[in-house]
Amino acid sequence: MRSPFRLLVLSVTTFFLVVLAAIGALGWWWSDTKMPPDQPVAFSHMKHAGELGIACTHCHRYAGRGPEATVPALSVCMECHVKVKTDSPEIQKLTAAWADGRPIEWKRVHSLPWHARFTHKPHIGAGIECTTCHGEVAGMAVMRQARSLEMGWCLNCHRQKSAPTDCLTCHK
Amino acid sequence: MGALDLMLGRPDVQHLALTPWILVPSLGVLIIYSWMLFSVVGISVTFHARRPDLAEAAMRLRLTSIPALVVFGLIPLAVVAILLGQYFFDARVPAATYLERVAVLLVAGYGCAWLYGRKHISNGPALPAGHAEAEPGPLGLRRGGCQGVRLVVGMAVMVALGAGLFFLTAVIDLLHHPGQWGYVSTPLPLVFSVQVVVHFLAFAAAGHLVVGSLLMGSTSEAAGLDARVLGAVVAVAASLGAPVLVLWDLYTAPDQALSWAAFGWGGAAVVLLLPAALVGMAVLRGNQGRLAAVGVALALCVSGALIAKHGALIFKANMEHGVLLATAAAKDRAEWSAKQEERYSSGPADPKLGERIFQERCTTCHAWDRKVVGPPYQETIPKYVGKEEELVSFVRKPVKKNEGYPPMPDPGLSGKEARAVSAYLLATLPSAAPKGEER
Repeated sequence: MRSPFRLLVLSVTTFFLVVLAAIGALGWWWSDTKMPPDQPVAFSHMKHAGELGIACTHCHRYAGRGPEATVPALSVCMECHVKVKTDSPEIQKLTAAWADGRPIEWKRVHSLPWHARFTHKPHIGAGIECTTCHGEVAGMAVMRQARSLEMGWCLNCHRQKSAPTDCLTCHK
Repeated sequence: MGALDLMLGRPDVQHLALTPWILVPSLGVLIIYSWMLFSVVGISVTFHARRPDLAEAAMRLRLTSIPALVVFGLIPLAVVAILLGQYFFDARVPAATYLERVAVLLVAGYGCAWLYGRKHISNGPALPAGHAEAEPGPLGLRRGGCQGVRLVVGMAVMVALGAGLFFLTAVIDLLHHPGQWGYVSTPLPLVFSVQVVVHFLAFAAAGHLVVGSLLMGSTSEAAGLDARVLGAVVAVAASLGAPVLVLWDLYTAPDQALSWAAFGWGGAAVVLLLPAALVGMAVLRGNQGRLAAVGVALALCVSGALIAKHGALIFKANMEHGVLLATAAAKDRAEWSAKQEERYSSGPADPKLGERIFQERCTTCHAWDRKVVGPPYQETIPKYVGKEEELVSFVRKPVKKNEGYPPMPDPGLSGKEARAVSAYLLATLPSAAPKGEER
């Protein structure tokens, strides 16, 4: 028959182990679903958008023109990188892909669920800066999602700017 | 632009790289110390009537002394205010008003704590309740009156510190909601978010854990024994509540703020809390005062882990904001030094410098006679003959001119360098023109 004190120690230890396991599970779930993805080429927005001052829409050409802002085709990168910094191994990945005629398979960072419809064009048209929703990209060495992109967050801004908050606006 | 101006309003990259290393420990000391102050005053206020020996034991920790207040309270507060001011400088968030409120409340709390400590110490050893005293104490009040004043001052300390810490937690939580920086107009929506409350309670637990562990080391007179038991109860309660708060915090933290470091430090805090709880339980069972030192060490490590976890949560957003602040600051400084140059320098542009810049920077993308990345110079430079100032301003701030070419990135040249390279290009133009075109 265990003494009550030993039983108490055992239950306290179990409690702590359960909490630790829960933290571990949370961490595993986060790394599986929410962690910023590793990209095939180490592209740095800090270098291109920050240091070099290249505008967002130079590469993400369709932001003001349609639903998807789109990720640039390899030809956009090669405009400069056919000559610039060709000794870098990362650039050589680009050159190899260009020679083979295959695209770089970027991992998508910002995804909305299927039941939410979002188009870039009206937002750019309303004069909203890219950094409002995508964060301070010019400061990011590795691209990541910097806002929650949850419905409540969208609605906050829609209400402040008197944009439509009707359900059918986004749930079609 | 004075050095102070640069440091506070326009810090450069080196300054900003140091900021998290100074901000996070300063925040840690400020928050944990303030909670420890809250805790000892709370214990003293609770027990001063019925168990003045326990109230005495709490105040004997000397946390309300002036050196402690200044070193652990006022100095970290000043450092935190300056650094948070830097981060929010130019961001459209009225964090300054929150920082003012935080500072006022915390300073008021520290002031009342000093007063409370003085009253306690100047009152001499506590008398058991019900004892009348003929001589008036300091401030000319009689003993009974002093008890009332002590209660009022004690409550004022707890209210001021508690409110100040709540606002401070809300301001710090703003740091990992950069999306809110443009929208926060009143503190209410953010202040009462679940995460602020959870952080508030987690730091409270850490502060109470340290105080409980310190009390466990009280000396072995009869009063000391009870103080040890009180300390152990406080420590065990804090160390059982804290793991739940850590888990809840990681669950409610915004995904974009999370990182492996945040989970790591949270896990480390929980791992350290288990022996802290067991030490408290051992002291309760066998009154082993020796374990108190272990308890204090563990409590301080737990506090450190919690603060480090918080630092990990604010790290990414602030690093990015820091990079942008530094870029803006560098641009400001460059413009200012260009103005100084234009105002004071009068010599001709240095052709050697111009040629060197051309070789080092321009030839990556430009040649005279063919397209490399940008247009050939023999097409573009003739447009600037007689308009050297226009060429200088273009080089300093390139804009997209020609649809057929990618935009020219900012070469980051100073005014002097831009003038030198423009003069060099315009001077080289005639000799670079191919022979066939001179007809």
